[in-house]
Amino acid sequence: MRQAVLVTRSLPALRTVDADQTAAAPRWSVAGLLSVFGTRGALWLALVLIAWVNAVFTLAPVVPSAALGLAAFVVLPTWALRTKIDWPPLGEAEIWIVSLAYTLLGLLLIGLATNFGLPPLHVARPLAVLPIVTAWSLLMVGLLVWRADRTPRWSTAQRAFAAGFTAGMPRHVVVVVLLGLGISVAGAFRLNNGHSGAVAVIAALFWIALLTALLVRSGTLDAVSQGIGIYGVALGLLLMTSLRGWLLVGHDIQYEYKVFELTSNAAYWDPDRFRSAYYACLSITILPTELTHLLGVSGLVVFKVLFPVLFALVPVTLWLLCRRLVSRPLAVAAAALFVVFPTFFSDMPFLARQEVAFFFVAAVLTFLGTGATTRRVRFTHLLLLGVGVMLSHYSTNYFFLFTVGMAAAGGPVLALLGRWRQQERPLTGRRGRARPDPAARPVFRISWLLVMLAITVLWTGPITHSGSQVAVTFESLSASLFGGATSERSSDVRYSLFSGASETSAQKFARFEHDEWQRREDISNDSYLYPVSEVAQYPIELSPNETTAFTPLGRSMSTAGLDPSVINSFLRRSIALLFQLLLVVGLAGSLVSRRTLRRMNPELRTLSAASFVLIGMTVLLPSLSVNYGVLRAFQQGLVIFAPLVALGCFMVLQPLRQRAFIGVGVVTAAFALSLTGVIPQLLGGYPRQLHLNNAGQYYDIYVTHDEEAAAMEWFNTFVATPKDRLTTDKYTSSRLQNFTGVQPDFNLYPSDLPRENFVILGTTTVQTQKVTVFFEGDLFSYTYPTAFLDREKSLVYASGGARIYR
Amino acid sequence: MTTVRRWLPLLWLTGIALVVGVLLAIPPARAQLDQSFTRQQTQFTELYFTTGEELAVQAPEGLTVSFVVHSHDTTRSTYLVRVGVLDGRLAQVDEIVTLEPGERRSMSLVVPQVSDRWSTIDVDLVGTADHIHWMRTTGKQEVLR
Repeated sequence: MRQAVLVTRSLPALRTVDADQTAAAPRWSVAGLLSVFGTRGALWLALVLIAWVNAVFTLAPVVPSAALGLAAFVVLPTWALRTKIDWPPLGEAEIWIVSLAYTLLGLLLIGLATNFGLPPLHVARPLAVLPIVTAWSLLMVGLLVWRADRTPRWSTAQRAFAAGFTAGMPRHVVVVVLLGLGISVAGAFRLNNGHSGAVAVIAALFWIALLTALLVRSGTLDAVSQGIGIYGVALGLLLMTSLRGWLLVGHDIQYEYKVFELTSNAAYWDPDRFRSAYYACLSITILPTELTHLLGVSGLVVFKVLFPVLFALVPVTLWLLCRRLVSRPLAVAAAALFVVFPTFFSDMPFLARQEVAFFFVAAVLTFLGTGATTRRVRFTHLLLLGVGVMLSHYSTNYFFLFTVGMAAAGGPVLALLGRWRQQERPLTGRRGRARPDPAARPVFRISWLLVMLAITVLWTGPITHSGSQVAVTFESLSASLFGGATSERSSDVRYSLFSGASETSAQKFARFEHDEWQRREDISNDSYLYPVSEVAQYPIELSPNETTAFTPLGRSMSTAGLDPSVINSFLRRSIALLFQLLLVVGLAGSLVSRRTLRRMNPELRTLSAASFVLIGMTVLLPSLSVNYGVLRAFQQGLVIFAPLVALGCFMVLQPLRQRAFIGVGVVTAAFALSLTGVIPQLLGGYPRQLHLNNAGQYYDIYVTHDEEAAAMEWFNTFVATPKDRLTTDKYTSSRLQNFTGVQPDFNLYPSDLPRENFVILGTTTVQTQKVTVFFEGDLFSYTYPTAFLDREKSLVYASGGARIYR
Repeated sequence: MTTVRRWLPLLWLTGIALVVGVLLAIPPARAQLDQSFTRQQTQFTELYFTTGEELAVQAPEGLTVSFVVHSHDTTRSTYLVRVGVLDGRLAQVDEIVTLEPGERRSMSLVVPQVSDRWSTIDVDLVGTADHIHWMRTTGKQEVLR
């Protein structure tokens, strides 16, 4: 007997109930096959067929193609997996998210299979449109045939859609979120078109207001509204950054896009040809190649829109996990703290491989608290999703495995402490040991860790040859630990509890200059460079950090003796320290408080502690702070320990009792107002942020301008031959690498500049004479002597935003 | 499900379409929507030599200098182009050029009375920051600006 869909405003009840799901289903049978090709699956098969024809022959315009591809190649398999797999006891929304993770994993694996399986069959371009779309469509058919009587029903989709528009969906939240997304897009686009950041500031305020409302009303608001609200805030903040610039904008994303183009243009992924850690990440090579074919969109859309759309699900997953394992009020706070952390919206949109990998990590963590299920089932899920993390991003995988390993090693200590606390004040109210909750059994076992390590070694070693980065990191780590290395570290550690003293920019710049000249002295025959006597005529100076002028409000405050620059800096530093203090308070509280013990999943607590130790190591070991970045590490840690930070927040605000919700809302809003740049924007006196301004350090070094693209077109048309070398600064080189086959050098410093090289100056250098360098984990800018180039070289190309010298 | 509820999605969509339609019909509102949801042309002008080797040809009547001006403006633009050549003394020639939006114009200007011992050519879009120059020999040269 078929049962109708039940869709209500309560999340647990959102489960789509299909009586067949619980019946013992034959896996493969003639009857099942026939039923798929009968009425039940006919519409789905027709949808897949239409989408196949459209993708292969590019019939429809972009938007309908993308909608069709999304429905047939992403939503349908996700739904089928959701209905056909026997799931452990997870929430309905969690099952959907993990199903989506399996769809992505399927894309990664089918890409790998076609990549290596078709060339022996004389298919030279296995990742071209036809093989990929055909392989994925065949997999769709296979998925529909497997457990055929659990295939989703068309009528179920119809009813769910209708219910969404009538009773089930909280329309007001949907409208609010859509409105906010529109403002986010408009804010970014207006900046891209050269207009002011006023709309972007309104967008930031909009999301902060919504987040505060979600926090304040987290005790009373229905779950679906909360989930949609959190997703909206996350996506809105991400799009404000990811949509900046009409071309590719950001740091890592430039090289990520290059390896994607290498794969996409060759329609083949060849790990033997390009032995790079980036190239080994399937999330930025095979996955975007497949998505462009299946959805009919450009690579730019995949990187700037689809990856943020996916990554915005991570805070939602965290919220769902917390609802199940910790407590409902803490869940919204944990998700809110995750999204207001500055790396989330200012850097994650530029780290596509990590956006995908974090999604897989969140999917893995979803299985926390399922200790009561069969070990084999749990192991299979964890292993498959762990493989997803590994295929997506190397560092995230190492970081995660290291965290699980440390948790396994340190877990018994915390367990002993927890057990002692339980005996002191048992949950039952009587002395003695409380009955252990089977669901709270650890899900990450040593066996899983060992298998994951073995697969990782295999993947980074013989398969992709991409393990050199790990070797370099371990070498510098051992040098840091046992001497033989300098103690340089990123200045981001100044935000840390463990920071200690850090060098000033002037000191670092002096060492940078010293290193440049030392390198010149070490060259035995330097006749290919400009004479030292010439270069020395053009001294170079460190550029001060540019801050905005005080606004009228800022001036009033300044007159009253409150310097906005000092206030902004103090707020940032205080918030960074507060994040860490709240984590410590939350961790301690979860161990000693009887109430929280009842709610906090022990394994989540152990993983949080391990993650915190790892962050501490990142700060204390200089090479890690330089190579990986403290803020990135903290953002990754927040996927695990955000609930403890939220717990710390509630514990500190406990005296407010029932008003603690309001207190947490106010605190988070204050964090967000400062970290999203709204307060600095309203007061002035602080460096500008990319998502609110057409200025600032990120704008200078990460935004690719039309003028630069036009200059590279000139270079490709009139110059580029294999013998021509092109020199520029590090960041212009990064931005322009996708416009030319000639990889630009970045030895622009006058003493290092080869005479015969072409030189291209990007928009920032042309307009402000500034060049930015990355030295020992920090960015700083100096004034470049363009007069030196004018006097020594011919200027063969010029526009308002680019110059080429020869 | 009542009739109103059944038609609610359609009513919503119709309402939104109407509002957007009205906004598009009002020029200032339409301009704001364009700025907010569509890509607008970045306005700039390219000035360049088309080769690194044979940009100048010596002839009896003078030195012929070839280059390109490419407008990326959204409106018709007029430029005063000044070509100067240094051969111990400075020789200059001016020309006014008008370009349509997106137009690329190849130009060859003859600078009279220039000896074949010239050292530097400078092409300038007067009134803008854009100029290019060519040095005949490597090493430190005098730039005509």
